Amino acid sequence: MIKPADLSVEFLVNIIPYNQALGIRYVAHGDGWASLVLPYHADLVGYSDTGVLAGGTIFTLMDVSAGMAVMTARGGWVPMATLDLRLDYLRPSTPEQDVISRVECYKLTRRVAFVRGMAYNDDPEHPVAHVSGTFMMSD
Amino acid sequence: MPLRQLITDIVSQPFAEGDVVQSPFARRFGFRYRVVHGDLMLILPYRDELIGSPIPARLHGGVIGGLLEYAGLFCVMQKLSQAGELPSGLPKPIGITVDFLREGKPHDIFAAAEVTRLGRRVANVRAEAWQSDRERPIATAVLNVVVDVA
Repeated sequence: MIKPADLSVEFLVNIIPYNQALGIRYVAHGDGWASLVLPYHADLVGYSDTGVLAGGTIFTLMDVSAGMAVMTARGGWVPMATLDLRLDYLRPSTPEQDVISRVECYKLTRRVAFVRGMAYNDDPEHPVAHVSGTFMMSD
Repeated sequence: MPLRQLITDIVSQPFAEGDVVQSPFARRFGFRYRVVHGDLMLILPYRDELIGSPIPARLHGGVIGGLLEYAGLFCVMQKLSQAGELPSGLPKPIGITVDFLREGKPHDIFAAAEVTRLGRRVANVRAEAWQSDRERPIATAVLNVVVDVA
């Protein structure tokens, strides 16, 4: 059975125009975490001779995933803004392969949410990128 | 024309402007470059698909992060090219930290960067993005970039 909370995370990911432009889609979520996918597409490559996705596409994937993780931790959507986001590129994303995120909100205060997570191609033990950041609740 | 050639051309001209067609991602979203008195900036003209929050319309944070990263990488390539040391492989970012200072309005975004230190292996770069007023940046970033790629 689909719960309303399941619908809202998926719905929010899918209605954002820039997510649509990059092809970012919902995969799964739980209490305080979210997982999304950035499908590989030749238009999203940084340098054509490498076939590696541009960093900005993974930055976007992780920003959205982090926002959704905060939302699940809060128990629903609230107005919020990314305060800062740090992305470490651990290795180049493998050409032709999708990128999957898993980001958790590991601490929530009244005003600030702290997030961390990873991105990987097919093996979570062999990550592409690590993210950490903070979000400000604006209400 | 490869990206390397674009950078070499940019460095040789005090004024230049054009589309960044050498990168598929930059071409897909319409990135432009502009050189004024040798200073390089990147421009991302507004389009509706860059929106991250529909009501009120705000640019996606990932749009801003992606532009800042390109501004940083271009600046590193410009400096390497000026030093006659642009390698055949292109610089790779190790990491980027973005501070979001203001909401991105549904308008064009500009970004420029400076290399704080150009080492033999790593370049440390600062980048900033703005919209209507350069004195009021919407985001700043620091990047570390590997430059000794073969």
